[in-house]
Amino acid sequence: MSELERLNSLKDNNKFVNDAFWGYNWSVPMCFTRERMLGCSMVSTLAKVADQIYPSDVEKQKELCRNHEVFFNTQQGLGAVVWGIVLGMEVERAKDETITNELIQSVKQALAGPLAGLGDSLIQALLTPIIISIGIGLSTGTGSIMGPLFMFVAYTAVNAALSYGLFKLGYKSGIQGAEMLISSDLKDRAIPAFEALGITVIGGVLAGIMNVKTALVAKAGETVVNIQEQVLDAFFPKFLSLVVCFIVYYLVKEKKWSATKIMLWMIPVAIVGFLTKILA
Amino acid sequence: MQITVIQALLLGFFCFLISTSMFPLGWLSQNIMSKPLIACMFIGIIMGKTKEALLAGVIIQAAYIGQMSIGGVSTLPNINTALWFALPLALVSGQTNPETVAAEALTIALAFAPVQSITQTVGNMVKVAFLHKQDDLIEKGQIKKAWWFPVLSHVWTFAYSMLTVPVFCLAGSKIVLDIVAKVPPQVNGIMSTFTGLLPAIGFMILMVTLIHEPLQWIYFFFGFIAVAGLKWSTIALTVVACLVAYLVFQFTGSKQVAIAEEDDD
Repeated sequence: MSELERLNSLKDNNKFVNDAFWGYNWSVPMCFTRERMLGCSMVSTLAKVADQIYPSDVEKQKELCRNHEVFFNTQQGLGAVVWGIVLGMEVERAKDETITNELIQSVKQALAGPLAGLGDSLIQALLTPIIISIGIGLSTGTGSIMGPLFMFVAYTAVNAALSYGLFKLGYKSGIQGAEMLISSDLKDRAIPAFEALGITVIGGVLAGIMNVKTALVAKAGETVVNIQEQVLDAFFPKFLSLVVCFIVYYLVKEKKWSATKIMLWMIPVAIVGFLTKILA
Repeated sequence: MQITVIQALLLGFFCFLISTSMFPLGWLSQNIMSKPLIACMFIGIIMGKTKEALLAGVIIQAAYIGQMSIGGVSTLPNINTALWFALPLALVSGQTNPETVAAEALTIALAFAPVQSITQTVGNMVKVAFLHKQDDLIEKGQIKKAWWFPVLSHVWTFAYSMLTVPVFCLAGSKIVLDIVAKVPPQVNGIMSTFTGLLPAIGFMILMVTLIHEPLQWIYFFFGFIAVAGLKWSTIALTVVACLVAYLVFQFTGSKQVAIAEEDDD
């Protein structure tokens, strides 16, 4: 079997998809951090099946995982489709290098943001409270164990069907979408378009998550000026978050600092910043 | 009535299992296992007072029905650890009225919430260390080990669950409240300032990958200001970004690409 045939056969290989799905399932709660949130899960999912995509090439396996060592966050259930799409696109990338890492990252980030909003409102704010209400009803007055048991079974069943279905759907559409791009002459136009979409959404998600503030006040006689509200917010909302981001960008891009080094420097910055009220 | 040592250790251990969010089915059961009523069931079984625990549990659960976690931040004070010693202490306090038991448990648990947010921040740092260890393993080519390695970061979950829960269970509610009162408020502030800075790292490493011409920052600023300044929701922003992407698609000149002929032999 040639390399191409082997990669093509992955498309309908259920064992491969299932392996990746369990990688996703166990890695989601494995290591959620403020730094990358679900980025770790994406790396772990791909690392679990890396040897099935690049069986004899450790360097390629390393590159596959390394590319995803970045921030990524979504609602984990509806977002299962994103893990699937990334997996499908990575399989296509193994066949054809015209699917670039930038394209995969853009698609991933562009989908992750809106799915987070949608998933939080549908699953966390609608489905879960309904199931819990029924559970509370079953246990109120009786103290019956049926309430929590019902909650567990009902939620897990719905969530399993949703997550698994979306994961597989994402995998198939990731492959098909990528194939369509490769086989047409659209990619020179489609890739910049996806990048525009991805970068815009990332800007928005960042603005939603980061909230660096100052507690400084300036006093001039009787008047007290709150720097955060009356100066910075009026000039440019969340200006300090942006400043922090650009400092970090400079350190990563120009100074080649590692993430660990930046993080260790953030500890004294937080302590000094908080005690001097420059940061709050 | 007192909590026995074995009960205290069991409570600590189940608190650890549930706090990992991985027990019993990983993501599939993650969100529901974090609900107070589920914890109350385990606490009730361990304490041999299932009925009393669940009657108080439904009251606590009702108060927490709107609890959501958005971007890793809980919308209500986090009581997931504290419940494991607060409810057992309330159950053995001699109260029989479910409302009183629930109120006692919530009082202790909510008092403990700031302490829990400190332990969570420390836990976050431990996890970040394991995250970077995973990066190292990938660099070394140990991909199979790298996939599951970060699970070991839950050694922190184990340590603090097995330490706080049994100790506070045996110490009693008065000591818990005394300890909470002694934590200086600055500690919590510094911790949250620090965690507030962290997302910049993950985001900017991503931007280094994505931005290959400086003008692309315009997209980033547009998205940022739409949410920070204009208060758009992510979905609204995505729809407008789709329009931008469509325009880019339409107006990017297609390079004259020779259509590769299929070669099947």
